[in-house]
Amino acid sequence: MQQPPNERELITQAQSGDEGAVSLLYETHVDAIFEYVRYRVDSKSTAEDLTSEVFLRMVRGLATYRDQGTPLRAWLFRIAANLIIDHYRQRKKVSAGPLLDELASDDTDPIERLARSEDQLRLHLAIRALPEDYQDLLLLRFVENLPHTEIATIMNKSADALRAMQHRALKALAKQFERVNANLGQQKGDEK
Amino acid sequence: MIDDQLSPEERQLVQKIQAVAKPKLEATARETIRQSMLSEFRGTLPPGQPHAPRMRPRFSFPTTPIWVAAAVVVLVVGLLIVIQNGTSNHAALEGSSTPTATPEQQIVVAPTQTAPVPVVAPTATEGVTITPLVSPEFIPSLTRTLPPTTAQVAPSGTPVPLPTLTTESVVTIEGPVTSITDNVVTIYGFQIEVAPQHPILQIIDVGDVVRVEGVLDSSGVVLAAVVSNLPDAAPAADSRATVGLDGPVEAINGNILIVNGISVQLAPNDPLLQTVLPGSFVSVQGNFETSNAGIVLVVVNIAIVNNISVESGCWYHVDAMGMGHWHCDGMGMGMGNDGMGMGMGDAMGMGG
Repeated sequence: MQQPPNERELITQAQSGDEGAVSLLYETHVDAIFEYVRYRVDSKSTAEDLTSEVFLRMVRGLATYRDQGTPLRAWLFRIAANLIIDHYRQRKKVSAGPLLDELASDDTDPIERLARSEDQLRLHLAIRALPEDYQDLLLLRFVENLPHTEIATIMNKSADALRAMQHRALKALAKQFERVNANLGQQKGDEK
Repeated sequence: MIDDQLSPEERQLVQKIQAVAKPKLEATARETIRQSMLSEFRGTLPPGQPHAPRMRPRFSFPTTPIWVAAAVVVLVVGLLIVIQNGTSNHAALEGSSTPTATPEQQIVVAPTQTAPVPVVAPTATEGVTITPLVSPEFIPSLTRTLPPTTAQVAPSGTPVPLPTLTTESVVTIEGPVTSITDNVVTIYGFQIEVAPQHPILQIIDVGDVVRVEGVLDSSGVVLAAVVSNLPDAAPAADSRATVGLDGPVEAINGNILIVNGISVQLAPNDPLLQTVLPGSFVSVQGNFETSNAGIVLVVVNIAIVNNISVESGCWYHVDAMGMGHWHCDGMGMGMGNDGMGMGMGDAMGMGG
């Protein structure tokens, strides 16, 4: 695993107090972190809060960060994963409709928006019904396209174990998709 | 492109996942987070470390006539003051040998007396050379065992607060759902209260095997924080244990421990019985079984973890790899020994 071009240099510059370098690191990783967090939590505002916390911790930890050949994003995803665990442990109640709140803030074509949101909703529901390890693996591998070696670092498992787990996770996801589709289809039928 | 060895069905599913539009972070939120981060970043810089000149044009050297005029005024005033002081104090500076200033003060005072004119101008315009005035005693001492969050606010020498014991039990239950009434799911006789909006309620049915993590409240209801549906085909990480229970031992009756009202049954010859005491904080993995005395949790793994006490807001967690560790509010997230150069988690106390 190697650092993306210039990232090592950016980290060094950030460690010496360069705000521009910190901003570039943020721009490089914020979308991926937000996507991952968004699929793991119920509301957009929570995802934004947790994403913000990831980068607060990044700047707090930069001074002691040492490059050991692992990309910075692996560290950031690991922080995010831990924050999500904390989020659920601290919260005794779960609230807010998944992803539906984003409908109101989107400015694309309403029909396209609805279809897109419904796909997101189905994926969200199906993924959220999986064990946490499966959620992490599928999101990091197939939504964020991270290599198994990097996911292994984030999830603290071996790459071989992850490859074996991947088959089970996909099988479980397929089953959940069926259930979600059946339930949502039934709900639509009831509404008519 | 994903080059995993996927079956056609799996590949189709992956394509389906990747075809779904990704959630987008809105521009306003993106900028808010950035500003918050940069504000935090400025706070993390040690005194004296300059901020990025590119991002802080207000620190650039003055070029306008107004600034030049201001600099000239400062130079003239500074020069007059120094000449006056130099004249009146010259004898004292040469003859006196009774310094009263602290070492920190001497660092500041000495240059302005010995080379007054060259020093005054850059100090007034760059605004950076004031930083040596900050006494080193206020620089937080970063140690490897402290999360950065704590290190920023704790001056050196400030002791890390010793946590105190919590009595709330964190419970993990895996098992078949026996009933669902509104948002209350029952597993092994335990009522599990799930938020009414939780998506899992749309998916699970009686008979499904689910995993619940939550807190057991005083009335015996588990307030669920995480609920996930376990696929039938997926073997558990530790197939021998389906229930996790962390909490203080309330009583010991022979080989039965009472942990937050739950009977935990050890083997009669379990060596842990020699050391466990009422009040010990234990982390248990096992299986519920029905006996004459009711439902008991038959132990597969158990560990005493009360040699590390935690304050309210901390909890003990056994992750999927079987590693136990503490989490605490506001202390950073503990990266543990992550091999990533951070070493942020040691202060949490590894209890595994």
